Amino acid sequence: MPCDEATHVCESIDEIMSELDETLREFLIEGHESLGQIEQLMLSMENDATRADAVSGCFRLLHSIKGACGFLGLRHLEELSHAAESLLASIRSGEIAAGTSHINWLLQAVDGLKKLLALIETDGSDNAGAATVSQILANRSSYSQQAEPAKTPTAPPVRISQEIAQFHPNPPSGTSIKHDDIPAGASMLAEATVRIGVEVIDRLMALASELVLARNRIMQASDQIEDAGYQAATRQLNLVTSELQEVVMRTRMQPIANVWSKLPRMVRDLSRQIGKQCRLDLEGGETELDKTLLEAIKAPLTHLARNSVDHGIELPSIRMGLGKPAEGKIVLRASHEAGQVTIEMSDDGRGIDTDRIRAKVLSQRLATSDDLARLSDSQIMQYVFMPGFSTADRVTEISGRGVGMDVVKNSIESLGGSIDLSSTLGTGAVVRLRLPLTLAIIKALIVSAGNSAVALPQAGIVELMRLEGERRTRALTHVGNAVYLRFRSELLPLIDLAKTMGIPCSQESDTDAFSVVVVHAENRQFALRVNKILDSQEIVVKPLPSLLKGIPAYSGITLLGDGAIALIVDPVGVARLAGLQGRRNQAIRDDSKTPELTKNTRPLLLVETTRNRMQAIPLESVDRLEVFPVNRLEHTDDTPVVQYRGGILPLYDTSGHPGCPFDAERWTLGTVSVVVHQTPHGLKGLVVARIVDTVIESVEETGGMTIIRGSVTQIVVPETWLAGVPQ
Amino acid sequence: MTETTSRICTFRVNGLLLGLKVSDVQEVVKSQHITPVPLAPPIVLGLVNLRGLVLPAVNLKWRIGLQSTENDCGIHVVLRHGTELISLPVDSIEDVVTLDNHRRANPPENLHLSLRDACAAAWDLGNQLLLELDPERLIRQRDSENT
Repeated sequence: MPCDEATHVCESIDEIMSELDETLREFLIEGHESLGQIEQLMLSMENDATRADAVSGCFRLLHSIKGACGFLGLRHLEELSHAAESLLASIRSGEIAAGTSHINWLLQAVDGLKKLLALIETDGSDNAGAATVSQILANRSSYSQQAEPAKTPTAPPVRISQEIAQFHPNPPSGTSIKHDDIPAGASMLAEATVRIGVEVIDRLMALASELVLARNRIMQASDQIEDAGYQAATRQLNLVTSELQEVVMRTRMQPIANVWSKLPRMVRDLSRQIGKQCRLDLEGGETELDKTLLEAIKAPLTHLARNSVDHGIELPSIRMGLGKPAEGKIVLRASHEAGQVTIEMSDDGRGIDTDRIRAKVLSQRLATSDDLARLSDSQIMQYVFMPGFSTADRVTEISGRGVGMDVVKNSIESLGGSIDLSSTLGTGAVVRLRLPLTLAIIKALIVSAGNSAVALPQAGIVELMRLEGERRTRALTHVGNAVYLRFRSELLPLIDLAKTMGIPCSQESDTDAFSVVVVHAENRQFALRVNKILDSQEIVVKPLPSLLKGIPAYSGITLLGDGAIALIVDPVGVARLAGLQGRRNQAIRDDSKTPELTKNTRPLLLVETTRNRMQAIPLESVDRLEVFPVNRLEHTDDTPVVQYRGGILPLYDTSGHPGCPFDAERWTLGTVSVVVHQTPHGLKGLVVARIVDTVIESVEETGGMTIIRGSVTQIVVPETWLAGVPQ
Repeated sequence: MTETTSRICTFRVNGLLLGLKVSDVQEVVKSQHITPVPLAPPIVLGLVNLRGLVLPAVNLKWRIGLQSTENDCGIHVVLRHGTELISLPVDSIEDVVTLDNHRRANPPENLHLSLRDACAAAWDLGNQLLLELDPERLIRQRDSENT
């Protein structure tokens, strides 16, 4: 039965594959491919022997085969490819003008090489190929006699034939290898692998998903047809379709070893360069990931390895002193875990010194010591991912410029993954990356916004809420036209997805229930208002057609179960559309992210005053934002003060007349929010009820009123507002 | 340009006879549903699902300056543009005609600017004029829109 035969072939291939060393297997596959190409090129040489590209093409391919032979200890294969290569070298340099006899011999050599490859495939070595090789080498006389003279008369006469004469003074005649001797389709391995363009696979994926949809429709319709044969056929269709989809998905997967095989060498060279000894061990290289993901993690992995060598592993002398082996060890480990891929890079170096991070955070004025005291060690380590942060004392060519870890974090997160750092001081650090298996399929929420259904990627979604009735009233705060969501003692800007994207929606009343998706992206949280959460499913991501590229609100398209098209919404893009600017994190000052300003626009800090009015303070006048417990307030003649950063911070209230002191006696809350402003005479504090956001607005002049987000807002310029205050 | 004839796939939009070279047309599909895309440029009417491929549907009427009519019969001409496919909703499909190249002329000067901009040529069919569209120029934003 043909079926049995097929199974048998598969089994034998499996056996071969498991027996062969991975490297050897790759070599064989490549070797068969190269020989196929060489054959083509040689045939084209036969038509036009002067074709330099064909000659050097063959030469190059043979050369790489030969190179690998030495490495794999395949002596006979090496000998034969060397002989063929030498002849090609002479042809290339013009010493020999190749004629049919040369091509004949070269083709013989190619056949011999094929035979050797087949031999290696079965035996694991080419030891049994000695006879084949010597026979072909002997046949070199067949062309040397008939060698056409070189075109350049100055060229030495056919050097190669002399060489041959030395080796084989009496070449045996009539020993040419018959074509029949070489097994047809010499390799099972080569036939087990086919190279396919990614676009073909993408098309296959699309067709498979389309088949799934057709299957679904048939399954629904089949309930009405009571025919046992038909029922069985639909069940079969169901199974085959599911399996087909799975197999097509798998074609995109490649072992991670493909990207990280270069890392050990890089680590070795790098560590020598800086006088260290490091070794990189790889574990779990067979873990498979989507090809596009593999490409995307190449740079982050390289960066992490460099970091380990430069910052993690100590100098050999120091290591010896600590009782560690002189050679530092970095382990890169990949594994599948709960539908995700975990990549872990651990080193046995000095680890991450949280005290040094604390010191650096303080010296770079990224946070106050009060802030730091509240943070745990693992929270402190998050500073490593801040842009521009580096604890390295010196900037080397390898690392320490403070660019990098933030880039690594961003690129991993943009792939829908996460990065996590842990360390024990003195014994090493571990960086753990979690990545989805593929970018082509993501987990997504299908939500309705207005009368459309859109997909929201689940990566970055923190929480889902349904707001109705009393709960809705309690959760929402309105400031002018802006709406904020109370979420775990924080106020998050609430963005109406349908309104922001201009999706038409039916008239709604204030009491309608709706759902809220809380998103964490780019170091901030915000909430998206949607009508309803319809479903959570794995979706196949398709790229946007070029006519729709450049719309930041979308990251792709997908097809839903019923064949309907849904746009994949990028929450960050929507937030930008809604005018949300990256909030200046209270603990971090990130000057690189300050948007470019036009003449009349400037970033403003939007605040609500103690009398519930909106005010905007130019961000350039804001030194820091602080929250003080009321019991830290002390009273002088008329202005309350707090002790702050080793000085005295007088508090004023911008809701009053310019320079109005803060009236602490009437304040009923336990804390005060203070905008700290630096003047030449010291720091001044402006008390506000609430920090709302930062906005970029065009401001006609300093001071006065303007409309921001639909609310009349007073512009307060601390310099002029505080002008009357006694120094 | 040694060929003496051209094969043109013809269709009607608001009564106007338009055509595209057969070599630029992949297929004609019926009962296509268009999914609107919020925030899309006006030239994109929406997206259509062609057997698992998602294609943009180009707003042909808007592009060539015609009144948009609520005549959504779902007939689309699928156009090849480089490696991408583009769906072009039309009112009705006419025929594939083979025309002598000597009947090919420049589009009339007095055509509406946005229509003339999208035209590659005009063919005199004796009793009526066939306007051949240029796929490349068709999917460019309407130039007059900028003014």
